[in-house]
Amino acid sequence: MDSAKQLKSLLAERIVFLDGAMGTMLMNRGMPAGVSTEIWASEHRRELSEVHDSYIEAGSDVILACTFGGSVSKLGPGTVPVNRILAEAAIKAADGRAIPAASIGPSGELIKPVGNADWMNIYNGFLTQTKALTEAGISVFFLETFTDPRELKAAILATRDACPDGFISAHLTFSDNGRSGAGTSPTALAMFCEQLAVDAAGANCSTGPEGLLPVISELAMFSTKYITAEPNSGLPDSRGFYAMSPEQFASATEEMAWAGASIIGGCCGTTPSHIKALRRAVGIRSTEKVTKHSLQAFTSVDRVVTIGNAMLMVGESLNPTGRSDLKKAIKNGDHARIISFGREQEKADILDINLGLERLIPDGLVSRVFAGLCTGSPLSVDLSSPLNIEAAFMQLGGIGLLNSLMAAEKHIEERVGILLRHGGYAVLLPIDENGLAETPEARLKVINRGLAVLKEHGFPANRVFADPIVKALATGADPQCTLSTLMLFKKQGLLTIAGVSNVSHGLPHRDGINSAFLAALAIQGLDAGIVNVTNPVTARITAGAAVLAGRVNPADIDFPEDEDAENTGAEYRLRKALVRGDTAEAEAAASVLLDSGMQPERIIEECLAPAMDKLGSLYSAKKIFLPHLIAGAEAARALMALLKPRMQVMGKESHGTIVLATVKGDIHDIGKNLVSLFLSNAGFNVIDLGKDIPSETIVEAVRVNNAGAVGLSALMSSTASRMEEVLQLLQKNNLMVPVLVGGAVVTKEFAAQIGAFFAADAYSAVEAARKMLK
Amino acid sequence: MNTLPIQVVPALPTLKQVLWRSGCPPHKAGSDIEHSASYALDTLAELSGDAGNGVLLFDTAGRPSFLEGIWPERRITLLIATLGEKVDTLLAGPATLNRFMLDSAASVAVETYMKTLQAAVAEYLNMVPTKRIAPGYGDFPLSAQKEIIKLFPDSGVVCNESFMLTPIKSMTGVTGWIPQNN
Repeated sequence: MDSAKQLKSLLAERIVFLDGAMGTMLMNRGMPAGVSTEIWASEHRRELSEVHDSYIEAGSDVILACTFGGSVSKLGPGTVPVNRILAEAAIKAADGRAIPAASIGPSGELIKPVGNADWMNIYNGFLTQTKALTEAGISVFFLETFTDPRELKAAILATRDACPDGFISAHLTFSDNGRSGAGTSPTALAMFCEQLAVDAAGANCSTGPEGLLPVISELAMFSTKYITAEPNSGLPDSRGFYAMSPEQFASATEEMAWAGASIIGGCCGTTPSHIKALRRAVGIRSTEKVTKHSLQAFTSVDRVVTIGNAMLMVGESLNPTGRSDLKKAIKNGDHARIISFGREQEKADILDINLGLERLIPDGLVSRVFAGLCTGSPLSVDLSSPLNIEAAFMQLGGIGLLNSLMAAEKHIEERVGILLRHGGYAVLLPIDENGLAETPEARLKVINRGLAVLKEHGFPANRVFADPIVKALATGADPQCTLSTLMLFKKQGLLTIAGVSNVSHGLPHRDGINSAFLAALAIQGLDAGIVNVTNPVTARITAGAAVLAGRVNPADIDFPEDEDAENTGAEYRLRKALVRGDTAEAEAAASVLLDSGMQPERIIEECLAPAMDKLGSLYSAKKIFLPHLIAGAEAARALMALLKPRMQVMGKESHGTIVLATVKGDIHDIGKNLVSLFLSNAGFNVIDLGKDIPSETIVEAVRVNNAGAVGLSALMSSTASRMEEVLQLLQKNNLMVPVLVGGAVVTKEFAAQIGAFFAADAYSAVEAARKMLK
Repeated sequence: MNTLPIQVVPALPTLKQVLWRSGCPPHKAGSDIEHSASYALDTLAELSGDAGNGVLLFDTAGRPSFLEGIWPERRITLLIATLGEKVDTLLAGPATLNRFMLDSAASVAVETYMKTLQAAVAEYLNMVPTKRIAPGYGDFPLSAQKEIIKLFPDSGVVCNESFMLTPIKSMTGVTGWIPQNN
């Protein structure tokens, strides 16, 4: 059995262990600093063999040849012989005790426009290296420490071309902010790997196991491939020492097994002791089954655009039809100007790029334009020649769109291979050898024929956007035909796209007609509209239609942030201090306001309330996190303590009384205490009974305090049943008050079953309480 | 059933682990939140003398089982680890940022403690562990918690009628063991 099959077979049984760092191990055996690790290792086979042996003895199932820096740009003419020697050394050391594999690192060059290297040259370099490794007998490849997904793609494609049946694990390395150096998120990497011919997606090196854990969790959530985790042993200190002990490393890295990783090893700073400790911590177990989230998305180097929520806006303006400035830039090969036109459509979810008559496009312009726009909005390749399409897709650092395919066999055959190779979605037109189908039913029939051809080539229907075709009103076309076709497509469950502005071609007052038609299509569920994104009305219609079509909750529509940067007075200071959770500054600013004669009620209304709203919206948008929210709430509590004694009528501002408790048998109250803090700050009179409270005591407290609502918390399923008991007891005592439930095991469904309101966290508990006590 | 003579010192989690557990990515924390997490770690360090653990070994080799032949040396351990009562005292009271961070830190700390304990058992037995489970995991009934606690009468950990442990930052674990060469 070859190594790739052996690895897959092992993965079917249990989590697989890789080895750890190579460079530091060789340095311990005399390798001087500053030399090429690969060349030194190839000349010191005994030392290399010792390192491989030590990892096998520590429990590594897979050992990686010392080929991380074995690229053409680093080894030049020595690439093939050095890689062969190092591969053979790993194979010999493995000797049936472990699976030999290759480590492939970045080329050492940056691809244009960031650097000077051509993507194709980088691909060819990886092809030379991986062919040498394959010929030496390697069939398992770990593509490690990449930061740019475009370079990673070059390595993936070259490896797959060199070893069609090999096992490929493709990794990026991530910073503390959860992004690769190029700005790629774990979700974007997962989406990318879903559509490329890789067996595993992963992350290595980064900033230690704690920092890598959320990356691995995110990858596992969105990827159906195996997940590989190779954290380093934290970051080295100024002397180059890694402080994390093997036990600390193993303890933190074990969490990745729980998060869904199938292949686990170590990167910089790890040793055989780290791998031994890791194997001891993780043990022999199958891959954890984690909940997978089905996601379809377009991606660029640094952006993920989800398909299926609101209609996606595809920027239409990078098209020379009717644009003399763009025509001129294309004719002159002025890629910088074209890129600048593209950046003008920054609001686009996807940017469509059409460069006009392709025989007139100067050489190299397609590559330069697509490379220049590889960050920001994902790209739609609106080109027809297969050569140009491939040149464009090569430059994408994510999942783009091909606009478009005709439903004709030969046309599809010439282009579908590019999508299968590079990943991507396709626009499918109801046009075949006989031209455009005229009726909605005929258009659906042609689309289905096209889908069948695509399926024969292994291209799935869920990566196809069917175009109902928008014809110009001025030609006598009936827009109802487009709408009816769209409805038929949606009924069949197809993704859909349309060039909306075509409808008004040749007519005056185009904006109004386009807007009306866009609204009609979007309400019918159009998934992507090719539109004028520079018109502010477009975004408003898209958002509004998403609500009307039931695709987005009205509460989730984004509103522009209310900035009052010019206000630097004490009111502004107080709001800012509350948002930042700065208690001392909040008290100082509030004192200034009180001394100036401002009434406490006004301070609450004009400072506290908007600050709490701001905190909530920042938290919802994941710009701040729970500890920040608590710090803000603490500052608010300090403010209220300052204001209350000065308020003329105590309790005047109370929004009602709510009894809070953790139910009988439950001794955990951190969540309930947070709810109590937030409700108090929001102006509710909170009667907090504490934890482990009998149902009868809760009911009695409602009666005695004439409470308008009850809030109950439970951590485990064994105590959640007490919530229902409280509801029944309230009913029995004719206390018809609404009950809010929450806690680790409590779900929306459970709350609905027992007839209670539900809050997922302390912040949403305030919203729920407001509704309950209205 | 044997009691293994293994006592380990609880290892503190790292600052980053505490921040992640609190729900906050470390690079977004800011100095106030980091300070609060550091305070939590310092507090836990002072309380380390209050912590305790226990290990029971069950050797089931030779008993009839469908595993006979593929798992000849069948060994199972029950593990218990607790940070002690003092943490509970510090966690009681209205919510504050410091209490919240201490709760997060103590949660990671008791898990880290359990991992350290398991690593020590692995060393002692010279065997490889299976996945460690605990009552409530999969179809392992939560009610088993009570039975496990009964086996550690001197641990200071008690289980209430809802199968929750006191001190709160306590946990149990069940691990199977496989020979190194298997």
